[in-house]
Amino acid sequence: MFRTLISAARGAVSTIATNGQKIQNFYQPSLVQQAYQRQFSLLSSQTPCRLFNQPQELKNQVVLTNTRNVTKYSFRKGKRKSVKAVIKRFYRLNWGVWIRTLCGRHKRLWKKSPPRKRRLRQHVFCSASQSMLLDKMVCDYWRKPKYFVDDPYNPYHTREEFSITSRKPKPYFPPE
Amino acid sequence: MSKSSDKALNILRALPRVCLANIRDNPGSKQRCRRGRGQHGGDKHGDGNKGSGQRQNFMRLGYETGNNPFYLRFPQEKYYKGHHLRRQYPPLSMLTLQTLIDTNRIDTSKPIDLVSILNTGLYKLYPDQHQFGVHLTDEGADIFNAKINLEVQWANELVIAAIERAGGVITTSYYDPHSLQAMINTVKFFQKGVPIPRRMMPPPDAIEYYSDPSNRGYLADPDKISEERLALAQKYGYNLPKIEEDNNYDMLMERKDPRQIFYGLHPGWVVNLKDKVILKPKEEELLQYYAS
Repeated sequence: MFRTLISAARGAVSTIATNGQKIQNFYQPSLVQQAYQRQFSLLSSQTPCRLFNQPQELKNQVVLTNTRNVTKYSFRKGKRKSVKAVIKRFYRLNWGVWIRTLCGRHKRLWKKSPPRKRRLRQHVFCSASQSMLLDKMVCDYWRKPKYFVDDPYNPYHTREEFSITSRKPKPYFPPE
Repeated sequence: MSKSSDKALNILRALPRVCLANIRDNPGSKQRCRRGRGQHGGDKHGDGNKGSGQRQNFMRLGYETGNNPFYLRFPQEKYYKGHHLRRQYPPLSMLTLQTLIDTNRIDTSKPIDLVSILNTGLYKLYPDQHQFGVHLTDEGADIFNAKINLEVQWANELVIAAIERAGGVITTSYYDPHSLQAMINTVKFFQKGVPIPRRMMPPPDAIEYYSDPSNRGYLADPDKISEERLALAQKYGYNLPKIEEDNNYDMLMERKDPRQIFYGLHPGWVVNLKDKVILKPKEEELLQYYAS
């Protein structure tokens, strides 16, 4: 068993020896030496602190990653934070539903028919579960009613026109 | 043999024979199984076996495991543009105002302003939430019949017509947040012992509204307002009641100074509720500062 192993190892060594050129490429002793020198120069502190001397280089090394999570507890005040991507794309009506635009409303309009372009201009409701999700992704401020005057969305904040969804008591008309 | 043992033997005769089915183990012959650790004896607390349920690694809100998420899918729209700069005016319907008057919560023999509406306790205002006063809405304008001298912060044409048809007058006026804070709880403000602030002029984007006679702005020319009153009466087709011949002419013609916050009190005065005195500034510099 042991003999066979040794013989196999010999065979391997012989193959490596035949490809001597390749071994050199793998090792690259000159590169290793460079790395050692660099390390040594850092440790010997001839240049006091390389990182702080070149802030621009440090800045390039920092990789900014997108985080779109809901912040539940902020660092400074420990408060919940809204997801700004939601505020940029959706609008909340006071009765609880969110409205949104449609995908592709600015794209390839030359090949879309007039009725389709008209439909793309419209704003549509989100579903109940989607509205619930968006409610969770924003703070209290966005769920409060806003009392702007002359706001184009003002007529849509209540649903008094439809008998099932109307909230206010209906006026009483005595029988004649 | 005793009676009881006799009875016991009788019972024994009726019972089935001893067999494997009706005997039990000797006490202490069986060992109890292992004691589970934790609250429910080492079970899984209803979280199932393995997986995200047990590890409680819930996905972040809106994440759809690699899909383009719903909340990022649609093009942006500036729905909330400038929301933090726009003034809010919480609405008060004319129907509610009529109810407040009918239930004696508001005295119509005196000019009605934001203070008297807030003192009813049925209208709330939060200046810190960018709210700047009453927006009188036209709901119930048909049945409004109170003759009042009203001052609100926002009113449309129909509301103005309904007030003036009933023989009243309406003014729209602007209050800055500091003045509003003083008006919300008057007693609390007077107890602070600070002088009544002077009312600030409206911001540039509101100047136009509050100096427009068709809005009955408090900065508009009174002559032009009376012209507009007549024009509005002709537009809506009602006879404009003559307030010159009215018994309450003085009350109806009472207006606040553009720098004034409370009726009968001038900016710079200090109201002492404890001693029931009003302290007025005398220094020339102060008088100049508080002059309108």
